[in-house]
Amino acid sequence: MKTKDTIKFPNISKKLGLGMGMDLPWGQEVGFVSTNHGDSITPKMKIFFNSYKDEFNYLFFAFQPKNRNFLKAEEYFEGYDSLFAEVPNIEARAFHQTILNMGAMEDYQKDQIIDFTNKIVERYDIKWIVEDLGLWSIKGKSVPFPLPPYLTDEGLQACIDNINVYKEGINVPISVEFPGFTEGTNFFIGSMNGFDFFQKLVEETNVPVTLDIGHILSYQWLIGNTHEKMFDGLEKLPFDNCFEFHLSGCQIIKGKFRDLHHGILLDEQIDLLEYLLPKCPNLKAITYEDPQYTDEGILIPKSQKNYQRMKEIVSKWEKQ
Amino acid sequence: MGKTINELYSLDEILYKLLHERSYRQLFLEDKFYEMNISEVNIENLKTIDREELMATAKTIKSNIISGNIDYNGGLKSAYPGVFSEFKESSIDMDDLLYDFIESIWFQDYKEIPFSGRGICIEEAFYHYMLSNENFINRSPYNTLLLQHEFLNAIHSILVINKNPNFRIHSPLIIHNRSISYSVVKYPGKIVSALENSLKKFETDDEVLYVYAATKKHLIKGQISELISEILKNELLIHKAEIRNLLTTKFNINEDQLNTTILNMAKLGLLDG
Repeated sequence: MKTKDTIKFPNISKKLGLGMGMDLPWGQEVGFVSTNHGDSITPKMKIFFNSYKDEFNYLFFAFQPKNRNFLKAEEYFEGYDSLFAEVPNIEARAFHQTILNMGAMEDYQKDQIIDFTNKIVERYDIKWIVEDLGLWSIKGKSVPFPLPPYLTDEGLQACIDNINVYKEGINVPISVEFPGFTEGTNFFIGSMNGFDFFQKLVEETNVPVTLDIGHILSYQWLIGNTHEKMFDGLEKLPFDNCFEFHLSGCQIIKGKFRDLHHGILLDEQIDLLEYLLPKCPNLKAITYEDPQYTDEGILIPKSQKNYQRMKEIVSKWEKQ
Repeated sequence: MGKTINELYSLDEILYKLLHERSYRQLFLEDKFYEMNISEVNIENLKTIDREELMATAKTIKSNIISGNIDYNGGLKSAYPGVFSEFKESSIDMDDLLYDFIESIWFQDYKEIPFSGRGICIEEAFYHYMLSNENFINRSPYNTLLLQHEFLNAIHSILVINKNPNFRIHSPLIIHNRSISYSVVKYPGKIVSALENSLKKFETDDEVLYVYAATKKHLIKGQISELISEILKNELLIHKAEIRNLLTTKFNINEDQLNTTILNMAKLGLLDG
């Protein structure tokens, strides 16, 4: 096992507090648009930023392909420039990759992905890269939702090997996100416990990690640790390596935990946030992912209550 | 005779097949592990799969292929509206057909993401698959043409936007020259009238030339003369006296007429200016 003092955290000296994470596809209501005037974020996003940009101290956005050309960072600059121009006040920027595919067991070309990522890092002074550990595509075909990695010894080794290549090639740290096990959208293969798997991966790679609170709960629900048992087994998680939390809208439907990214946080997520905060000494960033808002740029009413609770908790933690 | 360990599928191959091959998935769902060509260890691994979720995921893969997903892929239904209308009017079961397509060699050759090798695009995979679907092809004498038309329309539309595509093109119908990608095909006149919704009706089934071209800015399609077709073929050498002489002689035109045609083609974007 590697020593803890070698964890290569993002170059962030003080707590960033609350940040925002956004999935930004091309051609949707929220995301990027290409018009005769060039590429930019959508008008709806601009209205939202106008109302909320002072509530977030950092921003990440998730990569979505613009077209079917060979991956070329320069094709994305205009759109990404427009995004960051709307939030000049933020203290840090991060990039949520979606093509690292760290759970894959097959061989695939990583040079192009690394080169693309580094160009984005350089141009926007990106402080860290994050991606859910898992299978985003298999043999060149994407899966509808990222699948957890193969929970086997072989699957673990594949993750370690992939991460080591990216650690070497990408110019900023990769914060590896605990995979989603949300029911109704994915399944897993292999009998290794998910927390054990993640712990072993971190022991071998010593990467910073992102704990998505919904992902953790989704795994707990899957293995029967619901309600008052939802804190069972969490001590296995690599708290010292934890740099970031993610919170996105989740829902429990007919006893199944769904990671829907609909903006509405569950009480269970807020409870787990409070539980985990004191356990993670190197935590710097807490991201609210995929806020949902009206055409007027206001967070949807159903999301308001727990959004406010999350904000208060983060604010208190930031001052500690 | 027993299989050696080298012949067994690896876990990622098994997952690919479970997600994309209905017949293989069925073996799993019926616990026919010993017909799946997998190791004892992987039989145990597979027992952890939630079968309902696997089937739901496979169904979503199929749905995304038809209707597109939130990414940059528009879906087959929008690329092949006429072909899908034919399905509705026929006894062809669309679900069956799509699961069969996803299991086909053409789908295997399709790569959405190019990092594990460059494949063809899904629109082309579907075209080749449908060409081999006798039910569809034999249903109407025009179905082959309908399929070809929608394929060429789709592929050249894609090439207008994607000048440096991350997929390869298999079909010899698509030609690349210095300036553009194009296809020239022969259609019966009646078909061209229908395609162009033209006032000029072709009453006979005489064949006419029809072009689809991805120029720098636009998709161009329509009836063309044999002269234009020849100029496209000889685009690289069009300024050579030998070629020009051949064309003026063959089409019984003078130099000025040839220049005017070339100029008009350049204005449309079919040739470099």
